[in-house]
Amino acid sequence: MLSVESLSKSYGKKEIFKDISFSVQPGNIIGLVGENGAGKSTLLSILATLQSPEKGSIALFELDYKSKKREVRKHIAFVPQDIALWEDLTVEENMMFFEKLSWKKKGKEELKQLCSNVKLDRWNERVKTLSGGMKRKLNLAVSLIHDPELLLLDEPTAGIDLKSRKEIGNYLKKLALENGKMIIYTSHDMDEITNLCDQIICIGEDPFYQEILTETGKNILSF
Amino acid sequence: MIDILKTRLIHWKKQWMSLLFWLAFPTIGTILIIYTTTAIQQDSQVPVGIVLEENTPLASELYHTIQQTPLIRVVDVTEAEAKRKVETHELDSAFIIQEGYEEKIQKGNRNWLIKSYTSDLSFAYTPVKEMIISLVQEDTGRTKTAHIVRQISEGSSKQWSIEEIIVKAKEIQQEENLLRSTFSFADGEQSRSENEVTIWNTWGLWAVLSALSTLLIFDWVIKERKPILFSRYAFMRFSVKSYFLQNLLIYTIILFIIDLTTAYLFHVFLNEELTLNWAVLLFIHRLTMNTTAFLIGLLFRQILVYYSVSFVIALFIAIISGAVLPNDGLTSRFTWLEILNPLHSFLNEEWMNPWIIVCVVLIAIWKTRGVESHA
Ligand SMILES: Nc1ncnc2c1ncn2[C@@H]1O[C@H](COP(=O)(O)OP(=O)(O)OP(=O)(O)O)[C@@H](O)[C@H]1O
Ligand SMILES: [Mg+2]
Repeated sequence: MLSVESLSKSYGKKEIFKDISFSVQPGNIIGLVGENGAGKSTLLSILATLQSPEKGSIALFELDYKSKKREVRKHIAFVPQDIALWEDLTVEENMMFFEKLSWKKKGKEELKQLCSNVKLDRWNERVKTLSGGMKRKLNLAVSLIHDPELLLLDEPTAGIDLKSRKEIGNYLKKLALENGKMIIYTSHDMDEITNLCDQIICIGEDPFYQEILTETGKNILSF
Repeated sequence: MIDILKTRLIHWKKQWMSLLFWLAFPTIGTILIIYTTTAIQQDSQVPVGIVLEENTPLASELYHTIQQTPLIRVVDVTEAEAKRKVETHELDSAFIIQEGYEEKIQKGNRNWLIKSYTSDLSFAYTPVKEMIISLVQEDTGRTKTAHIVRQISEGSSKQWSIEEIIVKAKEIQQEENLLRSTFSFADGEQSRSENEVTIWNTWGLWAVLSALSTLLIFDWVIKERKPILFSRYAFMRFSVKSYFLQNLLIYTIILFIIDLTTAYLFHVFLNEELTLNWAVLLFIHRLTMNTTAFLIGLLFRQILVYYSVSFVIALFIAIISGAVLPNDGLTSRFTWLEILNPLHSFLNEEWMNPWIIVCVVLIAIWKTRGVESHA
């Protein structure tokens, strides 16, 4: 499980968020919402060990982020908001490339299966020639190669068509329910959030969001 | 390591054309440049036919002296061939060192020693004729002197034979030459042997071309440091720095294999030496080039800026190393240029290379300086 305690972050003098505390149990899906620039990506990258918080502590399966960073990373999948792939390589080559560097060994068939789980079937096409939505799917698939326990997804469904979005949503739900993964993800699609998440975390106390969120009838944490 | 090599192969498969080109570029480039310059040089030599009718020491000496003249290419022919080839302008002119050449010289007879064929297009005829005449004069002069010396010394206790006197005269002449060239050397003027045909220093030329290709091959250091990729590197089995260092090692091994192949090809095609000592030097040089390229790569984020800088650096190295054009004047005035030059130790076959020490230390600092940037 993931426990986050009184996390604060500021860039220079600019405070992004303050005193965030929550915990995530295996099988939970958490939705992270807030207006543009609220600090969703910042929070995710802190949870992914890529940035350090100003204050507060985080632990994953009792592993402290500060002292056991390397160990913690083995259990994390981070899908960045931007595409982090080799544009010149094909889908297959990207999967193979990152598999070689990964903690887990996976065969070609397993990698192919992973791609089809996120509804990506352009196995031999270069990333360069893929559509934006397809790149996103691959961006997600690559992050899942090492079978991580905590999935941190920054707008994984942005630009993805309705059908694939539904399918990816179902896949994430399955990962949480059947495999006990913990998932935290950001999205601007409130229907999707309502549909998938057990809990919603809202950054920034914008009344507009508060109102919409109460309508969902979900468990809401605001910071 | 094997896994890193496999990821490397995935990249190489995509860029095999340009990779192969840049790997082969220094070697093939050097061989081609040396071959063409030698060919051009040979082409600009004037073909002159020589018929050697007798095999005496004096005659063959004359023959060899003509042969060693830089601007002349000697073609062995018979007299009939000589006549025909001069008429068809295949030969510029032809000279026949006639039967009885030595005997006539020893008798002091300077007429009818050499017969020549020319055409109205023979522009090498006059200079070659002058040269032959002066050579013949030297020979006859020496023989004449010998005769006189013998006449003068007649009756004295030590009797010199003509041959002994000629040998002695040549010795004296050579000693004087030696003396003169040592003096000019001390003046700082380099004495160049006139017969040296290659203007280009093979390994010097290679080193410059290879500096350029190494820098260009090392563009992976920039391409793979794209900020967004660090969000992937964070979750791999290797630390980012170990990933980069292992790649550096792979490139060093591959490029060193190419270097050894190059040494072999230069041995076969350009008669360069092939020794174990040279292999070690080559390895030190390779390590220097790669660590330098790696460090330079770490300084840049924009690939195009890096490419332009690579060309500038290669040009700079080409000029200061004197590897391509002699620049003794420059380096004797600014000795620090030699220290700055990464090729200096290699081209002077010195094992101690300050550059590699600096580079290895810098890389060690880079490795241990803990922070991994990923913003
Ligand atoms: N490296 C940085 N230095 C300074 N300020 C930064 C840096 N990165 C982000 N910020 C600022 O921090 C704030 C939060 O940014 P963040 O990317 O986390 O927002 P977000 O909630 O993900 O927005 P979006 O919905 O547009 O993705 C923004 O105001 C941004 O300008
Ligand atoms: Mg964001």
